[in-house]
Amino acid sequence: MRTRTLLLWLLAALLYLGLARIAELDLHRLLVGLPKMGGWVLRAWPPDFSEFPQLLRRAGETIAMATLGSTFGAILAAPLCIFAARNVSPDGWIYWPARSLLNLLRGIDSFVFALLFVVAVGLGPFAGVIGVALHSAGTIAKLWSETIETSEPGPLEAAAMTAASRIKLISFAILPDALPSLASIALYTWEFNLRSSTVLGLVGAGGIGQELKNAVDLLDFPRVAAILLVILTMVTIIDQLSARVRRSLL
Amino acid sequence: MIVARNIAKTLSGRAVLRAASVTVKAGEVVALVGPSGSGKTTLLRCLARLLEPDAGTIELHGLDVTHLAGRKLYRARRDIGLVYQQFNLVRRLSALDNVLGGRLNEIPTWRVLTRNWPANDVAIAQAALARVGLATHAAQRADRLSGGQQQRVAIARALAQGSRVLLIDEPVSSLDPETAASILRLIRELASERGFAVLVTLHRPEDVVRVADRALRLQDGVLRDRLPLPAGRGLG
Repeated sequence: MRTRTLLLWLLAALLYLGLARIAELDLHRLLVGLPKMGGWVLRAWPPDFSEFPQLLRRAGETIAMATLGSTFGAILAAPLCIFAARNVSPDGWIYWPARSLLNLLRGIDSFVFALLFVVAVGLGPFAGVIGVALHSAGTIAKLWSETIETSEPGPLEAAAMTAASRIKLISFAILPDALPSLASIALYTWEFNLRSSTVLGLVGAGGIGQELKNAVDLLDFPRVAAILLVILTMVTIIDQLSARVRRSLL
Repeated sequence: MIVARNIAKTLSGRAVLRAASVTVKAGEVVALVGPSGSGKTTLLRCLARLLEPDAGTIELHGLDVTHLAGRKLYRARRDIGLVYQQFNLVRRLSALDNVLGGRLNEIPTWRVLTRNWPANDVAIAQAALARVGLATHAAQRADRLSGGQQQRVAIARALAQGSRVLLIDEPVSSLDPETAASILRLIRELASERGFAVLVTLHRPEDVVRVADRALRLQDGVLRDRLPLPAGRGLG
């Protein structure tokens, strides 16, 4: 037993060494680079808020991207989660395609979707909205379908005795009890999307991330500091707001 | 009236029911007794066709429903009100909404989605709630009602469904003696007043005496014998 444990530790150590090599971990480079970064931090003070209205406009774009993307994602997820929940899926033939579709949507990050849609719809937040919506649809549908699958079977069975249609059964016997969890998932996804939308600007999808990229490219550190503070404030406010609403739902 | 003949059902390799036969006529209350795991609930679920029996036949008001499928099965099932041990109410809905659940098939989809219940169905649900003594609790959320009240709501749901056969699974096992007695009295009254055919699973002999016209013991998958009940109880 001890030899087996030792062997497992050894294997784990080898695995992590291999991973560190692939990821090019280099403590020396970090030690050399950190003071340089410290210098940038010093040069970033005081933050440059001279174009504060412009930063607010860009933050607004980010909030719009996350909010619209999450909302459209939830709308897409609504039918998808029904097809992908084993206990309410209309038939076996639709379950696996639905499951595969939501895995595909979830597997591709909104960042990658946005990158692809910048080609289709051009630069700007619209591509970001589509990216966030598609990725969120997969994430929300998966979490919603799991919530539906773990809902109590009793009320559904009792309602099914009336021979009512599937849509009536789901709406009557599952949704009322599952709604707080479903809403909580959607709100959490919105929170997450707000944080992830801040980097969508890096692929040209607009928002505060676009400003951040421009400022970093120009080595304009006071402006970078101002943008980071705006991002931090925005994310904190939305996190608090969402957490409060989620708490009240449960 | 519901008639089951020689119902057999094997679950996880164990023959839970071997040749269970039972007839429940309109207005009659038949108690099903037997130790835990003897197959009482399995028999009720087979009768409601929620489980497929491996053998045997089930007749509902003279119609053989053993092999019905699809729409025909759903239609037949509407005539069976199943009342569960755990009530199976939608916890966050009001008592009235839960009772309206028995009317789902009659109510248009858009009204169910928007919870805009038709006045006629609301009246039926309110009458059902009144009959089980919960008229004043209509607006209360199901999970805020006591166990006995939840059981009454579940019975009201079956009433609103318009079923003529009631299959009731251990309705009083989790209730205090006083509440249990009132639930059993209600079941008895409903059978007598409205002519329901009631098959109810029970554990305690005193409960059987209180409610049943006849009692059958399920043992080793077979309904073996009839238990003696006091005179005046209409022994079968």
